[in-house]
Amino acid sequence: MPSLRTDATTRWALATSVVLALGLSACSSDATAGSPSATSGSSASSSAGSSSGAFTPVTLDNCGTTVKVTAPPRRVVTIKSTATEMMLALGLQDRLVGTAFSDGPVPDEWAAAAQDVPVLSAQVPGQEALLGVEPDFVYGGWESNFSADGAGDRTGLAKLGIGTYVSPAACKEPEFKPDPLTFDDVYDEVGEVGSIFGVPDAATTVIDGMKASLATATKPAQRTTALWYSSGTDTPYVGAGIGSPQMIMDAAGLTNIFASVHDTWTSAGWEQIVADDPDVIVLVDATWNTAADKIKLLESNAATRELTAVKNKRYLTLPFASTEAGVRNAEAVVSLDQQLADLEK
Amino acid sequence: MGLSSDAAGVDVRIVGAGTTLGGRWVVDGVDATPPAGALTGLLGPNGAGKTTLLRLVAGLLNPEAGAVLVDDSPVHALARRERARRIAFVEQESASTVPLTVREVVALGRIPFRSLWGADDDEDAVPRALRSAGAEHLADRAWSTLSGGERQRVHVARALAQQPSLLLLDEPTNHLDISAQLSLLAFVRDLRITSVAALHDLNLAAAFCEHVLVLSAGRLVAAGHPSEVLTADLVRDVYGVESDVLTHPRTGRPVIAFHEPAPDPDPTSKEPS
Amino acid sequence: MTRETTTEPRPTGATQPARAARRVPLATLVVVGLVLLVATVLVTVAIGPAGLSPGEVARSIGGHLGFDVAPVPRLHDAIVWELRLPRVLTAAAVGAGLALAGAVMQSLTRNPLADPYLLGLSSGASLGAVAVLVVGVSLLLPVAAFAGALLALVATLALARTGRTLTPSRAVLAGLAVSQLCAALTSLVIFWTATGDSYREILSWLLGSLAGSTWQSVAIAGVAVLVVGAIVLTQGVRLDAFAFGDTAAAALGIDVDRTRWVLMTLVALLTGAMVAVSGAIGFVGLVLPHAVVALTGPAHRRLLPVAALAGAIFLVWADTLARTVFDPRELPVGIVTAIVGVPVFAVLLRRRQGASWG
Repeated sequence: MPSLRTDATTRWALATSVVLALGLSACSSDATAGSPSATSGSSASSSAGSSSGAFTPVTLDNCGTTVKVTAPPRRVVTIKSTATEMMLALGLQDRLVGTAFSDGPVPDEWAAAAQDVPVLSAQVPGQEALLGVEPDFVYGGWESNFSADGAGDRTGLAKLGIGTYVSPAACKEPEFKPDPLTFDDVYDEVGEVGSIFGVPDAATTVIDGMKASLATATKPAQRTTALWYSSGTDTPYVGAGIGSPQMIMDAAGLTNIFASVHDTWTSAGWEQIVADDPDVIVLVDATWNTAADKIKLLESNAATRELTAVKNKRYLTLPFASTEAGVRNAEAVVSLDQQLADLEK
Repeated sequence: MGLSSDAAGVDVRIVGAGTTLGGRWVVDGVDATPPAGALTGLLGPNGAGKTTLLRLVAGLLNPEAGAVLVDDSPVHALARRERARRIAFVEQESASTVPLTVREVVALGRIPFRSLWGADDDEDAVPRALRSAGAEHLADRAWSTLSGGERQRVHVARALAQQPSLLLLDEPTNHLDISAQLSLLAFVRDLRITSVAALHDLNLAAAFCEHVLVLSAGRLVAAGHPSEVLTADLVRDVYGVESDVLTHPRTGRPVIAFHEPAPDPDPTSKEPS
Repeated sequence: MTRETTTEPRPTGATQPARAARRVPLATLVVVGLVLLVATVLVTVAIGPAGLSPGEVARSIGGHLGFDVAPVPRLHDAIVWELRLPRVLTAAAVGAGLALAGAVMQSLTRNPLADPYLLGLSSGASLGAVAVLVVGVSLLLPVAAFAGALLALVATLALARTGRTLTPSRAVLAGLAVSQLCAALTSLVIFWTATGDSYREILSWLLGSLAGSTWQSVAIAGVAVLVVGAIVLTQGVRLDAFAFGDTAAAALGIDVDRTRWVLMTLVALLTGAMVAVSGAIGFVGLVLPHAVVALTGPAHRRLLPVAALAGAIFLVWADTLARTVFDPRELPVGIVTAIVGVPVFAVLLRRRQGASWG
């Protein structure tokens, strides 16, 4: 009998490679808060053509890597919608030479500005494709974007004279990961990006706009429990206690049924959800898993279709890009409260 | 011994049997009639076709030429279970990784008699077979703990549990001590069922067999009583070895005393064996 | 006759040794197994993160079975009847099926390390499942997984056969080749197209998970186990004959080729159904037959039913652990079976150190 490496080994090798894939090129739940996006939330602060003067050299620590900027970058590639939208909110579309890995369409107010920016890739671009547009700066929404089989690692890019920046909400190392993520962290990011590009006034405008937006949000009068349903069918992937879902729900006055789980997102079981019977369900609308898909699943599952929120169709929907830490978070909060109010009517 | 109702054994006739392997006739036109109720020795050098012939007789291989008849019906035309109730085959080497006890190994011999649900209407067959083979004391031992000789004995017990009328053994004495070899062959002979045993030891065949069949390169070159067949000329022709054939002082059977091979000037020019 | 043994010879000729009750009778084993299984189901269905009282659980089940009981809150009833009970029953059916398939594969290939996925079945199913998960049509998952398993089987058998014959070693090697191919294609599909959280689902499926069990899964797995199990049980005597190899089996009157084809196909169908329902849960098919053989002995008529019952009980407990130990998070059950299965296997291996493995 030949010594037998059974199918078990093959499957474990395969499973291990998927785990590596999770680590390398996808967002891993423990580390990053989904994909932090940096889009401006409020329309009042749409700042096209803001001031470009007032640049001072910047040295800052970004997820453990030192970022030194001696002149404002002129050729920027952004990866993930949050990064792209941050640039657009700050009026920096002229400096964009490429975007990648978009999570959804750009909001209407910036659609025209974004139109001429070339799209490098639907996924994380390879290093060659990246270098082909001769960038001098890369702004990534997830730390894992800067991997060897992605855009390239940060040290390597630095040696080529290309500066890099990761959305701080997405830092993976525990000492840099925000725990919990707050709006102050988001504002800090706006400020940092503003200082890198020498547009501090635009940054302030965006931040003020977000604050003003948040102030308009009317929290529900009574305690409203909510499930943040991100994805997953047999095992739902839900917003947990320390990431952007919690931040947004807190600001909107919703009580997250998984707030006690010390993680950004988590895999949960339907049983806990059915037992808690949340008042509303927040559905994250992503192209790979739409809100409609989620509703279909909830209504076809014999247990979940008994949920109060499902029977009464108490759904609040948010576009994926607005749910990761970034300039659209305030808009997300306002949207949730608005939709909630509409439900009550 | 109460092993089977027709203890005299069956009539076996091998008629022009032959089969090929890879284009070569490994058994070629063999005509033989092992006597009923007696032990027949199947002799010949390695590669002469002994195992293949045994398998043809057992019905495990279909002859491409000729036939093997058992009680006048072709062996390969019998239904499998029917065949297994008449013919038992003990292989040269038979290993198993399954954690069986000796009793369970012998019980495998009852498979041709068992119904779909495993019921065997002869509860006594296994203990009887164990007793007959002298393996009763091993009954509860684990198969894997037995010595070579013990295993051989258990295989014979398993064959006996099939209550065969025809017993085929492929080099059954291979792993045994002298005394065990002698007892085993004496035992098989005394069963008085038609048996055919492939043997490589000419003296054992001479001592115990009623009849011997000598194969060389797939052909039957001699058949008959050992004292007629086993001559120095045959030994030279078939085995390429010089010998003197003596007579056993007690049994009168031939005893072959081999000579050392002469130093050969050209070692590559030996007769093919 | 000379004795060639080191044990003391027993008196022969006198009364034959009484048919010692060395082995527990089959009926006893089956009854005990069934009782344990029913008890396991009743206990585990009352366990879960939702913290329902056993009384509520009992009333929920009783209500559905037609008994006149006090009503249970609608959602609690849904938890028991639509989430927990189907899951526990599916676990039982899948555990039984995998143990059964494993035992048969080990006998057919004469390899104690064989498992149900040997013929490329799990890799083929994985490919089917992953393709569907990535495209997003997850409702078709069981169908795609089953189809993948069968295609892999066809490929394996085609590769392994020489004329009408199907030797175990060729089957194993062919299965390995097909597995590697499917695994490579699965990797390709994953790396090329998977976005966002589909990694999570894929990983969960590859490791084996009972999280999505519905009454439909109970039906699929249950019917597969009962039908294939019944047929395989009738082949128990034939499987015993394979203990000493193909020649010995043929000499005992077994049609070796046909038996092997039939049984391998049955195992494949059974495994395909299991994998379609729960992904490729490992170690159950490999370990359970070894775990029970000391109790039942190698006779398949005894081994198969007891292994099936033991597999059912084992997987129900493993899944209960998987869904409660990190409450409210859930582990894929394949992780638990591996963590438990590997040490158990190591223990079994050491105990059999004395006995040769061939």
